[in-house]
Amino acid sequence: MEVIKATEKQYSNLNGFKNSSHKLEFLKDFDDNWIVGKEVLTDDKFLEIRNELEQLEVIPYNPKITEI
Amino acid sequence: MSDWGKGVNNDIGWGQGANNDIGWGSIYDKSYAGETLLGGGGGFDSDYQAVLDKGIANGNTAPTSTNAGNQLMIDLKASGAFAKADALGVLASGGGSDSGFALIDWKRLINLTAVNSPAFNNIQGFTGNGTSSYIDLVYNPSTDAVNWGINDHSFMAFNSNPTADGSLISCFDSNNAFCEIQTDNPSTRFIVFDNSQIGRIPSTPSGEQDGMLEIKRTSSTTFKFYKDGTEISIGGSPVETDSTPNAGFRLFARSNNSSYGNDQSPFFYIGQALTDAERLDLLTAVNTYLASI
Repeated sequence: MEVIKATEKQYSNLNGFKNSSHKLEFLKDFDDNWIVGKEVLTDDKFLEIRNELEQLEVIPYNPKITEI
Repeated sequence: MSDWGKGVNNDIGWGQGANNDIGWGSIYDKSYAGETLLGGGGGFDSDYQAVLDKGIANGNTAPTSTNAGNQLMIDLKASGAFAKADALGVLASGGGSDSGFALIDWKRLINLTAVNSPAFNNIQGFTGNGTSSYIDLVYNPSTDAVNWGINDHSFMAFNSNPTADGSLISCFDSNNAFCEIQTDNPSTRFIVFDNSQIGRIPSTPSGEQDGMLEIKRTSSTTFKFYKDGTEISIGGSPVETDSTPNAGFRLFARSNNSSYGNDQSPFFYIGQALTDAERLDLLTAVNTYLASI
């Protein structure tokens, strides 16, 4: 499984983008990267920022594990 | 079908008779032929009408047939569950509707938030992507409770696609006070949490974690788990605390950004504890609705 990774600058520019009831929100992976699923690349709700999203690096998904 | 209220001859709202063949007006033509329904009034349950009105205000697209939704609202109210709800969502919003309409909370008439593009199907609801997407239910029991009580609450969600380690519905704060229904790895168990009471249900057969799943707490030492209206015994040794989680409820992920799953949900309820009769009537209402859309 792959996700897309944002630099700090890309994160600052894109995080929190909203289009009506739809929102973009990065989260930290195991390696402390800002990531989000690739589904946002094809979501028309994020069409306004698609060009910027397409600049993000595609990396393997490495989730942060939280055990209870 | 285009958005409602935008068609030719429809300049003062939907439901205006024979010349309105675009959007909601056409539904009224089919369902209430011959009636004059100016401004959307008449015919529907008032609370369902309010949902439709919220959709109009949002600019959403309504389902092709609104009769099923109207009947669901009538049945939910008759069950007693609607009155007890603090938050209630019908994420499977019916054929022809858009995701914005599905994100309207039927009780509070506010918009829920789809974060990071959970998949949407108007017959099946939303599905998590397993990495980052979830539905923000915009409900924090510490600050938004009306009917919810720490020792008098139910929360539930219908799961059509249980996945290992996926959090179906949860509320999880930084002090580890939490409520959660999760399908445990390797998909043969449930883990259920409620205000740090922890229960493990060790012997649910693989592939049978779907359906309407509910946690109900009625005292500081009693919480129960239900699958499709039937209580399932909780194993383990529940640890009880009396702190209400101070975080928002989510579908498909914990609010501490973990346990992302591919669960799929067409419906959820959060509110006061349901009685056995209310639970079964709610279940019948939702199942009838899902079979009819």
